[in-house]
Amino acid sequence: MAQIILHPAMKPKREFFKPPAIEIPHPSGTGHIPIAVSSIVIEELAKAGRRVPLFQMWSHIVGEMPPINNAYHYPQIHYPDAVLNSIQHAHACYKGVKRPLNKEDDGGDVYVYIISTPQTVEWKSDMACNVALVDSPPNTVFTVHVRPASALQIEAAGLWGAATKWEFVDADAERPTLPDAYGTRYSETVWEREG
Amino acid sequence: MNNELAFEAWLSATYKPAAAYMQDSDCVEYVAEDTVCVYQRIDEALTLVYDETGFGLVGFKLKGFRNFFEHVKEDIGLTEGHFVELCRVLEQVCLKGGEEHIGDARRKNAYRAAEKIAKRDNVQIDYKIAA
Repeated sequence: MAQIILHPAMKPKREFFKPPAIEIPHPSGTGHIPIAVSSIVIEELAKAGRRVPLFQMWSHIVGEMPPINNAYHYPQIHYPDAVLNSIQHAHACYKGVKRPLNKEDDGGDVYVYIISTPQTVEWKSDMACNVALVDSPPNTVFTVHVRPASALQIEAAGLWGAATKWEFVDADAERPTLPDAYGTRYSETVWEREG
Repeated sequence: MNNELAFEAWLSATYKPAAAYMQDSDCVEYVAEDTVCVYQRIDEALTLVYDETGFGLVGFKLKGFRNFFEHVKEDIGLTEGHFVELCRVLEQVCLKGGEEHIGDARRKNAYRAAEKIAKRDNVQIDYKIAA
């Protein structure tokens, strides 16, 4: 049977604002769980015109380049050896953000996954492609907040929960693969695999 | 955003900075540039946002916003129909922090920096979104 080979400049068949469900390491440290990215957060970022966090959602949560024209071809010409790590490569997980969150007083149901990624994605004004590969900010780690479906009151449909926040944060001075003050900023260490 | 042309326009548009309330993480975030950002936690209420160099302050995030706003909206004297000036909310966070802020230079300076940006860019959020 003939194989269809897409031209590398073609846009991948994904809807930018509807990323697929993804499997991430279970908070228990064994096995995987299916999660979505919060559609509310996607909509809020879209309305605010924030393209960079949405590009980062694709690269560091879904684990794919953002589905826009030439994203699978053009940025790699300028940065052929770029490495984008995603939540699949998380090396630590914490629970509880120790701050009020909606009706909760301690954000105790939030799981925070920690990722080290040498490169990341940014928006740039370019007729050929609006995404570029760049080095991650120095001395930082990427964090993804995941909340269980029960806390978000979403229709689960087999999903364990949803990613509700993702961002680069300062790395700890003594253990640079972990967030600054990791020992006190979260309620509980769920697992650490290195660092 | 289903329309391909609308999406392409969104993708290539000039960024217009505006405060956004993030319901699932209960934060109000303002960044002046749509760039790779680094989030520096100051305390349970405030995070400063830096650009990719880690040196240029581009915004701030107020965490636990709805939870906090419930407690202070009457102090600020706001009712429906208002736009909430975030510099006033930051002042209230400082007041509620009281003694803790007075003796902590790092926190005091961080709040001052966030207030400065909020005033400079006249950062506001719709009361209906905040309440």
